[in-house]
Amino acid sequence: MALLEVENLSTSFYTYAGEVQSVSGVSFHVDEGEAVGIVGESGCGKSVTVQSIMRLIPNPPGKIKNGQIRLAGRDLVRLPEKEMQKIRGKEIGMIFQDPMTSLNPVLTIGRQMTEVLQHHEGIGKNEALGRAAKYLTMVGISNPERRLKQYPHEFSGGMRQRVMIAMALLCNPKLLIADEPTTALDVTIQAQILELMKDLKDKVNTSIILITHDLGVVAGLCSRIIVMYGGKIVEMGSTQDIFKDPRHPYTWGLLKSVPRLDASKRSKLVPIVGSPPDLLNPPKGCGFAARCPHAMKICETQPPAYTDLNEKHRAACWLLHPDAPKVTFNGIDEKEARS
Amino acid sequence: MVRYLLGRILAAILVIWLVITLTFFLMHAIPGGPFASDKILLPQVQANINARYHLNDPLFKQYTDYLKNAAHFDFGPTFRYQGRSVNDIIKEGLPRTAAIGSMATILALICGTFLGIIAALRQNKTADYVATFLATIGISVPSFVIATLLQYYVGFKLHLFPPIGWGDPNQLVMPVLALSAYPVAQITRLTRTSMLDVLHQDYIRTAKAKGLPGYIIVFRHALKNAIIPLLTFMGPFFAYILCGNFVIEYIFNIPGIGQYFVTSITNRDYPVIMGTTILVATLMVTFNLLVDIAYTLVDPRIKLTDQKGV
Repeated sequence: MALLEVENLSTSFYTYAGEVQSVSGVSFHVDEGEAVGIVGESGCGKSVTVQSIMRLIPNPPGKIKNGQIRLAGRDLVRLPEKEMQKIRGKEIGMIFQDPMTSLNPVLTIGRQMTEVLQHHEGIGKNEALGRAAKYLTMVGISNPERRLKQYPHEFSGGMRQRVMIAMALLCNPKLLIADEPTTALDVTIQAQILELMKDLKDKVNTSIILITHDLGVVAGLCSRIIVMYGGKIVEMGSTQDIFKDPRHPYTWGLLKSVPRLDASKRSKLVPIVGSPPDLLNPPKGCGFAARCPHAMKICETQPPAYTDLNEKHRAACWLLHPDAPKVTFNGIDEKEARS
Repeated sequence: MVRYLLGRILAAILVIWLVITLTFFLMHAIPGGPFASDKILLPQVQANINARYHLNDPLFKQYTDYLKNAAHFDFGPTFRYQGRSVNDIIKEGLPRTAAIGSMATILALICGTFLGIIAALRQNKTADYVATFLATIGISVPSFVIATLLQYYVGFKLHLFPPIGWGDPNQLVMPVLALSAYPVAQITRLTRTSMLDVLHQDYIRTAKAKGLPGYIIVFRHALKNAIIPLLTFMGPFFAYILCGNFVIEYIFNIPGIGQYFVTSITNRDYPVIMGTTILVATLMVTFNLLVDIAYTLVDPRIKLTDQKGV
């Protein structure tokens, strides 16, 4: 059953230069207990999408223009702010990109954790501290009683992200949103945090939306992947589909630009040439047309509709039109990889 | 911590000694003397006076004598006010000045932070413009203008409060208002800037994502971070206010200590010059130390140690 349904979501920022359409017409859902990854390069609207779900878009200048976001049937977009405060932290937990700046430097970890419980569940300080200690242990922080009395600067980056995860899970939220949780961490810590999230996913049975620009990160954790480009979803499907049978040239580009251990030493990473579209004046046709090696005339003038490839897999590309020339993903050159 | 404080107190004594030394020699370098006036005194009288106040001693002996006495908190007699010592003047004037000063300080802290927070929360809206406008007026209109306007309209025309004098609590209202105008304005501006900066920090977004209500976010999460830069400003500033404001005291005819700062110099009243200067220096050093201690209370990342670095 779908826990979260996002339907035709559009979020814009109104600047002096004009309206920046950061997210336009995004629809997807997240099932109960499911982990979904949203991938795409910087500025493609990943973060704006999840911040819209949390209603954390700074207004002004930002505004959810259109669409519905239903959490277990309730439309969050039209919820009054007071009601929304009861959803944040309680039903949806959120982890942010930079653990170094996401914790308040002048409050103890204990204070920052217990205030969530005291506020949402109205439990006493001691009980809250007990629960906080339990969750710190769960995310692999030893000596939790002593740690709760400490301030963020006494924790390393990886430890702070563990604290953030514990804090987001305190009220057993139905949905956990992780906005690039490993981007600011070094590689070994990244692996630890991902391992922890994988672990917790089974333990606490919460749905997860994981945002990243690193395809490797989603592959290990998510069963479904959403690829965003220029404020739109260009392709989505099961992790299997996206890696084995990608259909959108942008997804191809993303996959080609992932470094591989089994590639030959001489093979170069293939970048996607060009830069993302200007969302202040979004292109009339497909947002990716200007960078697409297979772009056709129609790509510049008309936006492509979604083509359903199977129950879960769909992509928005003119190449999938019956009349389009057959172009397939040649993947990473197998011969080259073997040599 | 104790070692650090002892070190700081020793450093403070050193600073005050330097201030005494500099002031002493600079003061004696000014032409003229305490008893020079248009009345020509008989040479014998002049000599007697000089002998009475040890003004004939070599300058360096006068200096060492002064240091010895100052170490016992004896700051000598005044030259101008017969039969009164510098200590008498400070004892009498400082409490009055400090009363007005501390009230203005408290008022400035409350109003300034309040206006600053409102302005930051309502950035670029009417409340912000009103607060910023008031702050600009407070900074750009000199205190004597505000004092005179208050005196004329509130005191003289409306008869709400007595326009001058000292002794009745009602007489405190206008001097305190006039004195606090500038610090209210400064604190408003600083709080606004600081709050705006803090409100855009990632940890405020975290607090929002936790579903905390606005007042907890502002008062628990933002304000504590926002006052850190304010503290730096407040220390020396309040040391000045506490030592009095010559203009305000003069306009409202308050027998505080403020007037002595100015008159002692034109009078060449050496002991009063020294006494008032030491008073300011001591307050300044003390407040800076208090601010440094306050930092550690507000910001756990700051620790007071006498080691260099971390």
